This record gives sequence, C-alpha cells and structure tokens, in this order.
Amino acid sequence: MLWQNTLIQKSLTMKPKIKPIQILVAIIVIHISGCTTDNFENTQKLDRKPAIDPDYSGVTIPPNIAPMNFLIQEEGNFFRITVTSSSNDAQFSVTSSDGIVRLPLGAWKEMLGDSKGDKIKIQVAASEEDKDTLKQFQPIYMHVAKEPIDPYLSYRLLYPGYYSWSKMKIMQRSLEDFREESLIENQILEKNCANCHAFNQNNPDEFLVHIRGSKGGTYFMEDGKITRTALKTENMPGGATYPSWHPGGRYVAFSSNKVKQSFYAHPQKSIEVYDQVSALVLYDREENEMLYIREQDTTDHMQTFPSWSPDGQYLYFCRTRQVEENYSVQNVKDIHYDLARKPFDPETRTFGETEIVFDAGKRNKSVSFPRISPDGQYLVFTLHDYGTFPIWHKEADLYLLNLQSGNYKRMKLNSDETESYHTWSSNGRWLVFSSKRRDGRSARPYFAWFGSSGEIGKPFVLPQEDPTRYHNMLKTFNIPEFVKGKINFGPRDFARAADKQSLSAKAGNSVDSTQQWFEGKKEGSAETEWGIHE
Amino acid sequence: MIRKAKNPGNTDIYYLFALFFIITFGYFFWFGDYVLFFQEKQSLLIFSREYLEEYFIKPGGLLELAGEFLTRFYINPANGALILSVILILPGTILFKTNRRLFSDQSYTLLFLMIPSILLLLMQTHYYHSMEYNLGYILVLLYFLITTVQNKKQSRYIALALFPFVYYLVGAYIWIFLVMFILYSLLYEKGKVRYVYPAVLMGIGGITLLVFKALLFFQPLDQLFQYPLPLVADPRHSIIFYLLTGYLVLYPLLGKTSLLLRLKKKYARAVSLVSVLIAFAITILILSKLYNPQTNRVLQLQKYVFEKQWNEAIELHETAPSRNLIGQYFYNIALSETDQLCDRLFFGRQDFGAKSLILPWGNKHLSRGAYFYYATGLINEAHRWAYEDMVVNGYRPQNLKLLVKTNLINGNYRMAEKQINMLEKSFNYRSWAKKYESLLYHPKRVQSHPELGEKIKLLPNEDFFIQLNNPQNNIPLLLNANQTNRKAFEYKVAWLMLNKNIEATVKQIKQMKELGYTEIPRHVEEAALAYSNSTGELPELGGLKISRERRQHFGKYVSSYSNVRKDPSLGEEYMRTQFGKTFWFYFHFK
Repeated sequence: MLWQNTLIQKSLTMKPKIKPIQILVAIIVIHISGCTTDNFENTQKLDRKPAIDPDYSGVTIPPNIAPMNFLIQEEGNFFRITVTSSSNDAQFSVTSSDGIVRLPLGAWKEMLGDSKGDKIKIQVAASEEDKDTLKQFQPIYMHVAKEPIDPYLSYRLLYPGYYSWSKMKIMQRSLEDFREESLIENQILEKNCANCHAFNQNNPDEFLVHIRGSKGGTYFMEDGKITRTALKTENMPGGATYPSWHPGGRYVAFSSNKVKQSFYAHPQKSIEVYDQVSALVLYDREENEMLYIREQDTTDHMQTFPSWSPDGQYLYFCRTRQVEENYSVQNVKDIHYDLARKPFDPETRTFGETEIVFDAGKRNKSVSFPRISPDGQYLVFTLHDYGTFPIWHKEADLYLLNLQSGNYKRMKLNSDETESYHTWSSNGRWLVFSSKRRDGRSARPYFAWFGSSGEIGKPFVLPQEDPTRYHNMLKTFNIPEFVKGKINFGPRDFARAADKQSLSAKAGNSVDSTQQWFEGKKEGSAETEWGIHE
Repeated sequence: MIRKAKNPGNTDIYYLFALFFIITFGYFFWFGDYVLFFQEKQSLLIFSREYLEEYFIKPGGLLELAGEFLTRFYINPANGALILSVILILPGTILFKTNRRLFSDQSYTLLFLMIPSILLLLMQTHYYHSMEYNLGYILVLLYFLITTVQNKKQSRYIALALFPFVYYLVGAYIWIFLVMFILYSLLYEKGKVRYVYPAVLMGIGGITLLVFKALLFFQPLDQLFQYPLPLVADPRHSIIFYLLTGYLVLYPLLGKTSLLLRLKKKYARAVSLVSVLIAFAITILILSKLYNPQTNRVLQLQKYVFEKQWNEAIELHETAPSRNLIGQYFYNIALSETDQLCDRLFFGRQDFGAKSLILPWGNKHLSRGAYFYYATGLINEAHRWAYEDMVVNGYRPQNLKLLVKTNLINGNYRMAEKQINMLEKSFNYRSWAKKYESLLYHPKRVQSHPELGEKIKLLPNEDFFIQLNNPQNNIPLLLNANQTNRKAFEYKVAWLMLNKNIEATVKQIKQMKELGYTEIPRHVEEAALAYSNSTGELPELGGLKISRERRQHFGKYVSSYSNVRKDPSLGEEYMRTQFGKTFWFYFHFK
C-alpha cells in the first residue's frame, strides 16, 4: 500500500481524464470507507488553519513534485483531507486516523496537472473520538508553478559529525515520487569518506565524486564509464575540492585547501572550519593536467569556492587575505571573504585580472558558495559573519546578487538558522538549499521557486513518503544538487572503479610565486584534513 | 544406512546440563557480571524503523538484532546470567539430538556434545563476546540437525534449499554448516547422493554468495565470509574461536572416529560421565584463570560512573584499587563530581600521574573521554565526544544520555527532544527519558535541575578554541573563561600535584577563599607543609589556615621518612601503611 492508515475517496466531479479502472477502485474504496467515517451530525467551522508539519501552507511547488505528505498536528482520531484544484474541476479526499496524510500519487499528479500556474486548496477536517462534530479548519493553499523542477536530487546522507564518520551514502532521490537509491555506499569502499559530488550543468551522465581514504581519488563519470583520477600534484596544499565544471566539460575548477577544524568552548557555537592555505586550480581533462590559477598577488590571498558563469567566460570565487598561523577565536573572526571573478580563455587556458564583485569585507561579512543562475543574470551566495565555512554559522543566509545592476538583497527564504548550500535547477526557476531550520543541526533540502524578476516563493522541505521521517532523523542531507535525470551508476560501479589504478594528473604549469607559501604548509599536521567537512 | 543408536545417557545428560547451568549461572552472577553490564551498555535497541532497518540490509543482521534483544535483559545480573546459562546449554541439547544420527557408539558422546557449550562459555568470559556469537553457533547447529534428520531425498533437498534464507539469517556462520554438511554427506551417505548433496549445496552456496554480493546487499566480499563471526582482537579468545569452529566443522568426523575408541558397554556410561565431569573441572579451572579482577574493577568503575554512583566508584577503587589508567580516570571523575578531588586524590591508587585526569582524544577512549569535560563544565567538548562516540560506535545509552544532558544545558532543545524520543523507544531507558522530557523547552527547570543547573554555573563565559592535542591546556583556559569554576580549579591543582609541582600547587591557595573555600583541601595542605619544609616558609594562604591535624600528621611523616632513609628495612611498605593516602607518600614513592 502506498498510503497506510489513509483511505482515498475520489469525487465524482473529477475530470473525465481518469481511467475507468481508477473510478471503479475509487467507488469501491468509497463504499468501504465512506460509510463508517463520514456520518457527522454537525460541522464546526474554525477560523484558523490546521497546524501541519512540514509547514506546506502557502508554498510554491513545481507541477511535477511528489505528493506533499504531511502530519496534522491537531487533536483527533479521524481526519478528512480534501484536495481541490482551483478550478474545482478536480478533487479527491483522503482520510487518516493518526494525522499522517499520504496523498495518492496518481490523483496528486492529476491535481498538479490541472493546477499549473494556479493553486491547490487543501481542506482539513478533524473529529475526536466519540464526538459527532467535525471541525473544519480554514483551507491551506499551495501555489503550483508552471515550470517543472529537475526530476532528481542528489545529496550525501550522513551524521553531521566532526571528525568521525562511519556509514556514509550519496543518494539520488526522485523528486517526482519517493524513490531513493544510493549512488555510493562507503561500506563497500572500505569506509572511505565520499564527498563533493558535482554535475556538469545538472547532467546525470557527466559528474564527479571525491573519495577520501584508501580508495581515494576523484571519480569522473562520463560516457557510461567511471575513471578514478588522482588530481593532487606536488605542491598543492591539499586535495582538489569544491569542484565546478566549466560548461564545455573540458575543464573543472577546484580549490586546493589546507583545512583546519577548531571547536568552540562557548555553547553558542560548536565548530569552526577554516582554511590555512587555499588556492584555485584548474583540471584540464583532455590533457590530464592540473594547472595553478595564478594571480599577481597570490601570496597575499586565499581563494576558494570556484564557480563558473554559465557561458564559461568567468570564474567566480571567494577570496581573503592570507591568515597568519595564529588561530585564536578573534583571529578567525577577522577572516572575511569577498566575492571575486576573473575572465577565462578556454583556448589558451589563461585567466585575466581579478575583479571584486562583492566586497563583503567592507561590510564585515564573508561570502561563500557563489552559484550563478543558468541565464547568467543572478548570483546567489551565502553571507555570514566571518570565515569560510558557513554551515555551522546560524547567521548564515542566502543573498541574491543581480549581476547586471550589482544590487543585492537578503532573500526571503531565510530563517533564524543556517541556510547555506544552494544550487539552481537547470531551467533556473528553482533553487534548492540546505537549511537547518528544523532542529538547528541537521540540514534538510528546501526548494524555492524563483521568478524571472527575482521574486521568490515560500520554500518547502523535500517531501517524504512518511512525513514524520524528519522528526527523529539525526542524519543530515549534505550538498543537495539538482540532476536532470536518473544517474545510471550505483555503489557497485564505484566499488569496481575503486579497485582500479588511478590516473595521476600531471602538473600543467610551474608553481613559481606560489611555491613559497606552499612550503611547510602541506598536509600532515594532526588536525589537518581530518573530519568530514560536511 | 544410518543406524539409530541407543543412548544410555538420556538421564545423565539432564544432570550434566543442570550442572553446566549451575557453573555458568554461578560464574556470571557472582564473578563475571561485569561482562553483562558492559555489554548492556554497548548498544541500545531502539524500536524505530530507521534503526531496525539497518539490521535487515545485511546477511547476519537479524542474528545481531536477536543478540541485541537478549542483551537488553543483562541490565539485571540475575536475568542476564539466567539467559546466558540457558543459551549456552542449547548447543549441547542440539548436539544431543544430532548425535543419535552420527554416533554408533555412545562412549564419549556426552563429552563430545558438551565441548561446544564449554568452549562458548570460555569465550563468553571475554567482555566483547556478544550474545549474537552464541546464537550464530546455535542456529547453524540447528540447521545442521534439521537437514540431517531428513531421511527422504526430497525433504533433504528442501532443507538444503533453505540455505540462502539461513545465510541471510546467520551470516557467515553458514560456512560452518556448509563444511559440516559436506563432511557428513561424504562420511555417512551411501551411493551417488554422498556426492550429489555436497555438489548441490556448493552450487547453492556459490549462487547465493554471487546473488548476495552482486544484487542484494552492499557488503564487501570479506564481510560476506566473516560477518558476524566472533573475531575479537584477543589471542586467547581467537584460539578458542578457532578451536570451536574447527571442532564443529569436523564434528561429523567424530562420529566415525569414535568407533576407534569403542569401550565395553558396561564401562561406557561411567567413562562418558567421568569424562564430562573432568571436562567441567578443567572448565572451572580455566574460568578461574580467565577471570581478571582488574578488568572487573575497571568495568565496575565504568558502570558506577555511567550510572552516577560516585560514592560506590570511590569506595571500590579505594578498597580494591584498579591498576588501569581508565579505572583511575573514572575514580578521579567520581572525586570531582563529589567535590573531593583535592581532598581524596591520593586515597586511591594513582599510577599514571596526570594522565589519569584527562584521556587523550582518539578512537581508543571515545566512549569515556567526555566525562572529564562534563565534570568540569566544558559542555561543548563533552557533547562533541559523546556525538563522535555515537557516530563511530552507534547508539549507546551513555552517549545518548550525555547528548540529551549537554543539549539541555546548551539550550538545544530540539536536538535533545530527538534524542529523548530515541531513548523513549529503547528497552531500558524509557523512564530516564520521560524524566528529562519534562525539562524540554523549560530553561528555568533546567537551571533548577540539581545536576544540569550546577553544570550551567560552570559554563565558560568567554569563548576559546578547545585544545585537542594538549587537552590539559583547556583547564586554565576554562578557568579564565569562568573564574568561579571550582571543578576546573581542582583539576588544575590535581594536575599540578600529580606532576609533583609543589611550588605551582601552593601558589593556588591564595585564590581559594575567593572561590568559596573555607578550608584548604587536605592534599593541598600537605603540599603547603612540604613546601614549608623545604623553603622554611609557608606559602601565601589567602586568609585560610592549615589544620593542626595536618601539621601533626606531617610531623610524623617527616620523622618516619627520616627513619626510612636511615633504615631502609622499614621501607616503602611501612610508609604506605602509615602514609599511603598522602601527597607526601605520592611525592616520595611514586
């Protein structure tokens, strides 16, 4: 059964798109269930909406999203939920005895189809045991956008821990229903750490994944093959991380970071992850070469979070002045990253001069995770008080920067908890981002509709078949990425690739001026590169 | 044709089982109870889909789940000893049935069938030998019995066809069955089937392995061959494991070889009985050798600390000292939690200097290190240790309890609520969770809670980064961040005393009055007198006084110590008897 504890009733006012067999099933179900549950003498209309979890009231949803199942947090042992399209042409009802509402996939899909560009009304009525009165709440509305969302979401599922990890999975989840499959399971990769999955323009056939540990390497997926690659060349301060695909597919930009974790003593914060050294590097897949992205004043700056513009002409990134090796709380609080970019010529593999796009330092803030909309008009970044790792910063919020006008604003989708990792859908109409608003610690993927003029719909959390799934779940959804289709690789494919010898990247250019600050700052100290840096 | 043998020991066997039961129960109730409570604290069975489904996605997972379930009863030593005693008899009872088909001569069958139970009992004395290991052997023997009692070919094939299901149930124990059955077939079957059965079984086994590996489960090959066999990292345990496994694998061969040892019928019963009694006597002897009172003490101390039975922990270490670093660490925690660290530190054995105050960061001490930080009010760090323990070792009562408490102290109610919900779905900790549930979203209730409220007062007011590599540096940092934190202050002084740094120790006395002390803690007085003895002047006492009793005691110590130096025959032992609980003795003799 797709909907335990829930009975479905379809109205006879349904549009004649329904197949006869569906009507027959609906009639049978109505016959079985309707007689015993709907005999209420009185109906009491309440002037408030029902409390539901997740809060889907007023959200904007895509026309191809999975059923928005929810839990009714009201007293009662009988609930009737009636879902109606705005035109009143389609309607179906479900009942529930425990408040858990699981909407039937078929009827839901039809409802969405009928309501594109309009809204869906959800009417909840509840009754308590031995009472003849049915309490009817004010209806909840969900706005249905015209633009679909990418059908898959990929994320890492793990405990939001510090140093240690045990089981870790990278998952792909259908957004059109509830199918969830693992892409990588680290238990067959000698419990290595799997992270940083990145797709070339949301393409399920072209992406990469990092593995850290005995099976370590960057695994590239293309043309149905997985290639294990060792990207770290001599003098890189750390492994290649935070990947961003050049739209042409030939290049991938990374940052190479020497990372340190420190733990706060005061209860207000728990952990700070920050770079001691970081530089941008470019991997040329055709030549299997790793190139340093040079800069005149490289010795003075740390650069991280590379992100290509959709036309591939600019590489955006975050940068700050090189920190001293004195990591007190106050020193770390003085680290502020600006948003910068530099032009790129793919023919010559060269970059132009750096220009500052958003001077966060002046505002005593720090920028992370720049992501540009597919039409190149907007850039969304995370803004937080300091440092380079906002996911543990409560104050971290998403900001929208108009790349034409230079105007920026705090987005309406933020909460009092951390909002950080975000990605655009391939059509640019949806954003997915990580938010810790539910419990302050575990990130959940939230989706928000993005209008052509920069307007934002109320975000909603990834719907689950069991809407109570988030209640006791301690694991976090890390790095949510939209994917345009199902990924045809699985854990065993990665395990097979992991058994093969990795292809080592060559150093594509000499190190020159960067040499001096890499010396003595390579990986190896006890607190470096530990942890999962989720 | 297999001859069904008569069994003269039908009644004897019940007496022997009863005797074995008494030995097992007695051992685990009176001596080895630490194994029970250690194992009960090693995991937490939670009745939730997310938790339980982990057991269904690997061969052998259900066996582990069954073991987890039975282990919950270990919380009561009598129940635990009872369950273990019954479980450990089961291999014998199954083999009792099996022997009827294997042994044509009954001379030594009683001994043969008791050996697996005896070996499992010896293995069980190791505190990492889990219940699931016993169940694995039991189920595999049961499957062997079910398969071999089938006389009709069709029934035999049906039993063999259950191989994939049993493999899924018991995991790698199935390979023991596979070899047992092949041997059985080759030795006991006649005609073609003696080769056909093994061939069929190997075929089924191979296909099952392939399907499990390639299609059904995400398990590496070595796990499919090993999980959940009892691969405990202890050579003594490993030897018994290999002995037991080898013994069972070759068990069908015993039936045949026993023919060579055939005795006259009139002696058979006596020999059989006597051999088992001798085996029991040897077992008791080995049990006494395997029993390690030091392990017992450490795990007892751990239990007392986990259950906040501070006085019991202190009394145990002072009457039956642990020589183990962890045991002494727990003693010091108990002293700190009862505000006696500087008054009683040397009443208990201290062999490791300052190392027994704080355990170093790392997997080795992941489940224990949090308690120092919790005792001193460095709650963020206590939380981190507990969290990492949960990630690495899974849900355990003590890590979830610590997470609940630290989250409540830090005001992270939503996380505390999740963890309380998990404990509410557990077997033995529902009432604990209910108690703490009432604190959720009520900061005032948390502040007035006798334990949590006190910890809140110790919290750092200023922020600093935790020192991981030199954890002792956190103590002065914590004191700087909250100058009223007496627990941290006492740890600082204890650190100095254990490092025999008298000068730095006595320098702390001047702050004591401000910290609320009305008298100088006993060991600090001792340090002050030692300081005065060597420098000729008392340190700055900040308005406090050294007691007359301590001065008199010191006088006696000085005199005795002078005699000892003059007459070494008096020696260390005399000084230990007279002054073993003093800083002076620690200073001179440790």
